Amino acid sequence: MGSFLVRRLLHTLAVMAVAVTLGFLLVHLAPGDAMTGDMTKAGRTSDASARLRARAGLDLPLSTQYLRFVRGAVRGDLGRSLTTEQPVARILAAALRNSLVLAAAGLSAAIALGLAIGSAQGWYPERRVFRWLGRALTTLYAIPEFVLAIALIGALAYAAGWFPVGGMTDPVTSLLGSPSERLVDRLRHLFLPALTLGLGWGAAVARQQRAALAGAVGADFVRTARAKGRSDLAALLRHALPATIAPVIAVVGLMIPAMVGGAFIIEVVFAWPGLAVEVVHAVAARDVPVVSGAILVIALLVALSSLLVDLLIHAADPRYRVVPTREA
Amino acid sequence: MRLSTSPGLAAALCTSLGLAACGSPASDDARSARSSVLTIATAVDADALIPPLVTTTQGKQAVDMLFDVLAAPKAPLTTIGDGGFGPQLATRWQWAPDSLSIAFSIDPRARWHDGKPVRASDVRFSFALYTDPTVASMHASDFTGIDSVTVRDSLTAVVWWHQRHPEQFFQIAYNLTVMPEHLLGAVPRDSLLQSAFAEHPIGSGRYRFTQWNRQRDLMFEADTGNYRGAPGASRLVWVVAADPTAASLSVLAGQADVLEFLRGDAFTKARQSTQVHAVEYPSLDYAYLLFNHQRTVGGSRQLFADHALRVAITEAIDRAAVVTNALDSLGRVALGPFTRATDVVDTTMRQIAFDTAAAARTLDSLGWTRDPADGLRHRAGRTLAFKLLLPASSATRQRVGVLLQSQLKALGIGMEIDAVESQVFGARLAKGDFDAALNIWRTDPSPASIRQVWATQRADAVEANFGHYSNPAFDAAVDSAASTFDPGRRRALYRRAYQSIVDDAAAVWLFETRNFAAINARVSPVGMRADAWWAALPNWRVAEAGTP
Repeated sequence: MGSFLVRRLLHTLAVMAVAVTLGFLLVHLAPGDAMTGDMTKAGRTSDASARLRARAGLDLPLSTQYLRFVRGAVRGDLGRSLTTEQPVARILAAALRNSLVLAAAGLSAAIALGLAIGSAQGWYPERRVFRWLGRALTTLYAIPEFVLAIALIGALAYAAGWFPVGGMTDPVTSLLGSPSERLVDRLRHLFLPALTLGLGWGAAVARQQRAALAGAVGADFVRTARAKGRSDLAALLRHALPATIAPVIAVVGLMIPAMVGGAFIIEVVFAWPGLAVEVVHAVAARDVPVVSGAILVIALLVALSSLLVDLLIHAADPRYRVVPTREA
Repeated sequence: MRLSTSPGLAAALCTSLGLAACGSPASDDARSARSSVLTIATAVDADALIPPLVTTTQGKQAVDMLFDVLAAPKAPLTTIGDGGFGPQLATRWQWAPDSLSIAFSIDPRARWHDGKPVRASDVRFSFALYTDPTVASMHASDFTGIDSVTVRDSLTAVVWWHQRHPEQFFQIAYNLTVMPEHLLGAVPRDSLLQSAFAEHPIGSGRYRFTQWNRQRDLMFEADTGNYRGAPGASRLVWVVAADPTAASLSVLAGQADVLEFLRGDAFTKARQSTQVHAVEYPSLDYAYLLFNHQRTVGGSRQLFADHALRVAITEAIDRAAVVTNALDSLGRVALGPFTRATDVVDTTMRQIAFDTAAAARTLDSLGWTRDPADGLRHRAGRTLAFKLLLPASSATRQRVGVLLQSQLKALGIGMEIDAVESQVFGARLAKGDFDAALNIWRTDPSPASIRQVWATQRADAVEANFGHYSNPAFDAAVDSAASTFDPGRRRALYRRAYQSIVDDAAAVWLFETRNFAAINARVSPVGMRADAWWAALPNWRVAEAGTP
């Protein structure tokens, strides 16, 4: 276990180093920079632009800029944004918190939807309504997330007016509303992006759950539970579901790293102020410290969540713990 | 068998519908506060709230609400003399006999939002801040020609010029936003954005800062005790949407009150809506096909330096058809490097007409003969073809590019569309790395600002003459127009300058946009100026919820 952990940690560090270096280079290789590329800066004299570039260190050799960034990152200092001059760590911390809220809500929606529909399909395979629900979910899974998001905005936000078109809060309510009003406001803003994520990923959970449960419907322990007088629902919830949940946990575990990066489009479509929105703005503004910092954070999250999944599987499945022996 | 899972599903639906049914949650306080809130939907957040550091329209909107200028322009804006201005921070002003200085008397009632009085020294400080090279403000060049600002007494600031010119008053009154010295004076000039003031600015305007969640929303509240009177709306909120489409949806759905530009489908929906009005206001934006006059194109050195060729290309383009097809009623054919909102414009100016026969004759006479094999024109083994640089993010310019391509091809001119990301577009324009570009420029209210884009380049000037255009006759006419005090002569000289650049076919003047804002029916807008539709925002009347 110890050597496995060391190997995985080294692997994680290597992945992060490559991701951060590539990100840093690609942003620098793109034409334009934070001081000159944007047309709105056309009113500056070349002297003023040069002064700003020097202040930001953009006139230094690329290798020097890279080493500066790495040295700072090792110390936990990601520098300051070139456009707002705020500390990058502060910008990313706020954005990351929002991203994690959305990811958690999306994951919860996916698990709830997937487990409910998958269980119903597996438990009642003859019910047409559940078959149709499963197909509907699979169809939604096949639709690109941004298309689904736009459709939901059109139907539930614009046409019905039930939910906000985007954003994370209503500024007036967040400033003047009571705690309960603020909570409801946040949930209203969270609902559509979380539902979009949940519908997409829920299909994967449902398929896994249906397959697992279908095998358990006729199993001895379920028949025994029913013979003992357990209700249908109790047999499902207390006996069949716990016995078939392991594969679903594995699927959900694999979703976590995907979710960290996969919610990007949804954040942008719904103007959810998470990492995606920060990165999109930073790339457009050639705000190198923010882009590099964001890549570092995302790489770290993906690597750590992958590591966590590996550790869980390693701990749960004895076959992973078998030490290979060299045959003579 | 019963549906054992249906209660769960029902609960989930009830929860979601329950959230929806809550609508806009509001206690009495919040409901009352919300009733006269004016919400502006935008796709771009403000970039800064310290005036010299603002570079975006959204930032300018915000600082114009927070801070004051010395004198307020009236609509329509005229830039010559002081007749087009009314008092704002200055109650009156007095010209020196030689017109080389103006003494501004500060309103003694004016207070910063922290309660401190506004003083003449704040005017002096603000000028110093704008023009300090360390600050590197892109607005520093607006003050070229001003020598200094001095303080005669605590309520009198005197602005001094090196030499007199017709736009002296406009130059200082329009461009100098006054900031508090007691809060910013001690902040290092090279790190203004890192100061506490940048996060919580304090001005003297009719709105005071409340909160700013970057990339989400920006909120101001009414300064009810302001020396210029309380504004109409109790709060101003800018809500940042994902993109222009989402911003327009939020206004059409009644979740925001104002959107500054309506485009495409949203314009049609707003015209059909009873809740939202499409309100037109004058525009200072014009679009043009910019030639790179120094570029070697397709092996031909400085291809577009040839006046006859530029005229032929202009004649080959049916600009009216381009505007109709790409913008429908949201644009007009441009007359030149200005818009109809410019105060010295003459709409009867001579134009280069659409005439494909004349264009073909000119091209033939220049030796560009058509090869039936590829349909393009060639001369001395070189093909008459070029690349058109445009930003991929602009659907309108993409459409215009395709229309131009088709029209030019009919005359045997090859044009390849080079659509790039907007930052790359800006960077390549600035470097002169293009054959031709489809650009949109927002003019300054001062007609003299045309020099920034079209006058012969000077090493010490702000540079936006991306195509390296040079026309001494135009330069001379604009210089004369900018320095004359006689309104009639000024108009005639600008007309001469405009006619010179149009006749010279410096670019193909394609269209000027017609600006329509989407405004909720409960809002009564006033004073929407071409240069700043928001200028009179504090005077907009907002009907409380339920009030017609």
